[in-house]
Amino acid sequence: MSPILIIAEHRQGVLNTDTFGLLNAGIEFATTLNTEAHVALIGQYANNLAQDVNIAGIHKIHTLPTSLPYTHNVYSQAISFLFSKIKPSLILSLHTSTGADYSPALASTLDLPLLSDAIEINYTNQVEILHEMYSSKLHAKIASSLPAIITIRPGVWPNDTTPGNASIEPFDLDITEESINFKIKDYEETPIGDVDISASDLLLSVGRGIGEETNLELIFSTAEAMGATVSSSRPIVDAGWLPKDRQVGQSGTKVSPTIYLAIGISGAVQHIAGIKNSKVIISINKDPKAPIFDVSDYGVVGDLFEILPLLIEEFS
Amino acid sequence: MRILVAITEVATPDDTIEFSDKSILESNFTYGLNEWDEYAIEEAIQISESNPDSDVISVTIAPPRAEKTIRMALAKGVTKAIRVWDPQLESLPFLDPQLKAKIIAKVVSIVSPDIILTGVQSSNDCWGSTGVALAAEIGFNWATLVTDLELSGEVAHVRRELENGIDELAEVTLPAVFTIQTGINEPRYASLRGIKQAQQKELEVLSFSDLSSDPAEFQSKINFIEFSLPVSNSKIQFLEGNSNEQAEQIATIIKDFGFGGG
Repeated sequence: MSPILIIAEHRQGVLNTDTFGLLNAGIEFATTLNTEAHVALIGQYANNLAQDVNIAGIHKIHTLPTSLPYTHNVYSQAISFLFSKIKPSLILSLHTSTGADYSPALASTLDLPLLSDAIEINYTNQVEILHEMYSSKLHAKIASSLPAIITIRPGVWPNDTTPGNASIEPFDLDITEESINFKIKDYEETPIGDVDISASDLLLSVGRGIGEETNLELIFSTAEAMGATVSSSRPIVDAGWLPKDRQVGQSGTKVSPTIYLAIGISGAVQHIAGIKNSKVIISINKDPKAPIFDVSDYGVVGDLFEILPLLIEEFS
Repeated sequence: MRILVAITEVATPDDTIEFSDKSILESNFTYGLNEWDEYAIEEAIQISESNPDSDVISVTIAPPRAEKTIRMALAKGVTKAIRVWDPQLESLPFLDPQLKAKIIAKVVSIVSPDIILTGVQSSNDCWGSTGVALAAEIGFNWATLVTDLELSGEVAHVRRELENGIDELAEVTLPAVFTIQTGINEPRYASLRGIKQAQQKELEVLSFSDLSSDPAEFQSKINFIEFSLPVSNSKIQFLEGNSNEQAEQIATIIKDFGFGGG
């Protein structure tokens, strides 16, 4: 069987640490297929990052340096080129703002099946993945022939590694700037306002269950009573009720408080990705099937409008 | 300017999802417009309002059931809707992004849009891949996870939402597909007048034979094996009792960690 090709993810010279989970997923699958795991490093910092991905289980690292920053045009061309050179049986990327930005196009260009956002990969005559649907309430097992392209969910495979001794194989890439029809102008970081939610040890986080903006008063009163900082899930920020610097999750801030108190938050995948490092998660939700309960240590199935006033009393 | 907006009807399970080997039991579902597509529709309508002689055409791959949802898009200001369905799709438990892209690509060749908007993902399938697959299929450029979109001549200036509070500011050459992230705008509610007008607007229904002389090309590359319910390895302890007792237990846990004057 031909090798597994893993596409390392990095931006502005920094490796996305979820790349290690991706490498482990690739090594695991290569072992299943009794084949080699190769890594592709593409772009401006390809050469600098080669040793970072040189971990046990990786056989070869292909570097494809270019002076151009990440764009899906560059990646699609580079991976297509590499595909023609090493004919991998599988291309593996992270299902992130980067991986999901080029993988579907690559599948179209190379005419390969695409299996998106895998949380498990197996092989029985064909490659099988487990994919979450309906807000994590249903799993679908889907499969395709090889070669195929798979994107995996970040944070599912373990990130731990030991140093390896892969050989490094540089390629010359010929990408013309005219072929780039997507140009990055700048990056901007969400400015931190009056509060830094990542610095708080007690977060009281509010979600869609709050219903209306005026009900936020109840949240702030509760937070004040117990000395918590108020954070939120995405819909509250989308609605403009709280600024972006309060948003917990994959695209917002990843937090690691001692206690994360989730109020009326159902627990979308992207939200849960941002709270996994909390020491204790306590959730209040009226839907007993809300995915947030799956990651919580303590749960209350009930009405937040009934419980929060009582909670304020407990602290006064 | 002609704007195509690809929208999906989604089902929200009222309770535990019931399913057989190959299909989902649809009886305990509430149907509606995919949340991300609400924002895509709003963005499309806003663009059409600021560009004279524009129209917004929606495309949905769905059975007749979805027409009520599609009418809601028409009520908000979509000019005309297209619904694609074919007996060939009846047996599929869901549509994969490559198949969706292939079908919508045919509609694109009929409609000839200048730009295409769609939601980042649908809450049912959660592929997050259809927009890019479509762009590649039709040779358009693309930008994903768009939280701000400004058209200016031959290019679009976009803000993309990456991870960890980082935004990317980029420039895309048109024609292009944009996958729209929630929060980009404030989706409008349909007015009563809009709802009335929507009944008169055109909702064209196309089948595979209308899109291609070779319906066999709409074959999925993905094989569906089975559905299962997630296995929970949760260690949660539910706090029982009445609200008073529950509040007391929460307070005790918090105070035990030294917070709230505990």
